[in-house]
Amino acid sequence: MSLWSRPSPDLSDDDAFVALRAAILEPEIGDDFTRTILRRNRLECAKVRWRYWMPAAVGASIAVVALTLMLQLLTVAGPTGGRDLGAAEARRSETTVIFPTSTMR
Amino acid sequence: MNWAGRALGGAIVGAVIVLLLHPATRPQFAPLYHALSGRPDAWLTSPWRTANARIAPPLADSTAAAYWLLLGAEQSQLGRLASKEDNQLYDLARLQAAREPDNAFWHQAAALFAARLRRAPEESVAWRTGGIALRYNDYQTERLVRIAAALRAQDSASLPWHWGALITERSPTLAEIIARRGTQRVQTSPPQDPLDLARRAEGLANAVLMRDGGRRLVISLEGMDWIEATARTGPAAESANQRRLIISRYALVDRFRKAGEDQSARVAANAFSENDAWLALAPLEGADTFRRALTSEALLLAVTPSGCLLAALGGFVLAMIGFGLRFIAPAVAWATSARVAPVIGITVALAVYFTTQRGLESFWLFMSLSFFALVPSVKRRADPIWPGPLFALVVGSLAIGLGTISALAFARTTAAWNSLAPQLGTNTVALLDGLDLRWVATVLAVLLVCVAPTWSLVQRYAVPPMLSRVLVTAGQTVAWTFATALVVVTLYSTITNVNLTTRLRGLAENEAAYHLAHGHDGR
Repeated sequence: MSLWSRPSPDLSDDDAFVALRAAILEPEIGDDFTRTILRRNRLECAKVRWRYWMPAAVGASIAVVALTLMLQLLTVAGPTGGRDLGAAEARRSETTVIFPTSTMR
Repeated sequence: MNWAGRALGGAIVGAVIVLLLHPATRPQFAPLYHALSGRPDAWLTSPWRTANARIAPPLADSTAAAYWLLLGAEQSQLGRLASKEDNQLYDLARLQAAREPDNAFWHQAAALFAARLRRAPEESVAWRTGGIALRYNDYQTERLVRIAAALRAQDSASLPWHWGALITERSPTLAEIIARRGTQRVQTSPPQDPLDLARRAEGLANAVLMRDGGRRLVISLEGMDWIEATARTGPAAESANQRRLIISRYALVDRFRKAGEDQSARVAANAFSENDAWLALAPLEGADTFRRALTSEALLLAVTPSGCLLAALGGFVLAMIGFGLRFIAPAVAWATSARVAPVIGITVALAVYFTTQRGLESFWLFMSLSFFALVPSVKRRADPIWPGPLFALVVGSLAIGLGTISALAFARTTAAWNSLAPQLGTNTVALLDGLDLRWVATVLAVLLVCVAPTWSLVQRYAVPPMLSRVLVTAGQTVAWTFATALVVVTLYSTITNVNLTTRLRGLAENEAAYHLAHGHDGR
């Protein structure tokens, strides 16, 4: 005996179809339906984009932090203030050489 | 692009942003910032450079006074100094000598200008007072420090190329003229003259001071030659024979001893032996090679970060143009059609010819742009996504070549290049300096553009999307390559800059002392 030919214990065929039609759910579309769908779509797109660019953002963040730290370590304060330029110049010792040119005339 | 490529790209972008903003690395892009600002370069405007001096600075201090004398000497070399100006410079030197009697420089300058005015007694007095002075300071270091301060204020940091350029900014002109006059004075003095020994003694004392206080090897060398000249008499004056020179040295020392001037003899003997020590400790050829090596490195580090940044930005703009072509595909299709392409080719070629008068480039442009007329008879509908590895290789090579040329073209406009390249004189720099960049850039750019019709013909794509693909690929290749180079070079430069600046500053402030302290190779 097939399923279709089995008689219903409570309803006739016509009654069953009527009951089935009555049970059909009519979708109730609210005012914000379109907005919600679009928002979900945008959200989904943003998630995809974020997932796509996530490695780039992570790479950039690591580079920024690492380079900033490295530059901070590398940057040493240079010599401050000016140098006395005269201090290093060659200077004849007063006590040893006074050329006696006047005595030779 | 896979995730690893995106991560690497992000890292490069992040690194570039940090390097552009961090105070330790920002000054390395000073040439580009400065070119964009449009302000005149301090190297070309500082009144303390002899090349820029139209009007000498006010006589506010000894540095300015010494600079006046130097400018006067340079003008006298060119024969542009009138006797009235000689007189003013003589008065200036005498005034400074009175203020600073222990500095032989003022006395020697006074002697020089007295000689130019043919005032023999005043010249003789000036040589004598110069000989008993204690030091030689031509105040050029102070002048160089003022130029360096202007460059530092402009670039926000003391960069190696500043000091590299300042080494040769120390002018030997005045020392050369003084030494020439001093040499002439002793060489024209007959040995039998009773004043001959006194002239040689004065010359020797002045020359020793110049040698020891020169602060640049070419100036000290003038002093060394002058010292040797004081010993020469008669035929030896015309001979460079080493044996005769040594005999002349002993002869002069003997003459001092015979005249009863033992102290003078000791001074002369010391001066000659110190000359030998100078030549041994500061070999001029080695010093020159060492300076050139340091200066080449300074030049490379000065122009490469800015050149790479410019090329990377250019690549980015090229890629954007490539993207933009997709939105004007119909216009591009019209311009590259068989009928219009030759007309555009001949119009561009004529415009280039009449503005630049360069026939070869114009003909090259006409032929290349007309090449677009060879459109494929049957085209695919799809856009070219990946035209193949050969396409990437050809476009990438041409694009990197163009990027290099644009970086080099920018480098050649910078003050660092213009100040350092002439003094290097190496084959590579001379080749780069003399390269006709416009011609090379035209050839490369046209070849790059011609890749589009070539690949369209071979792979049967429409020309506009292929042209867009060419520009996008070229732009991306240039941008990523030069951004990577920028990161590497800027980091290397940051690490080495302090050491390089210290060395070049040491050479600029006192080249002789630097070599005496660091040995033959300056390391």
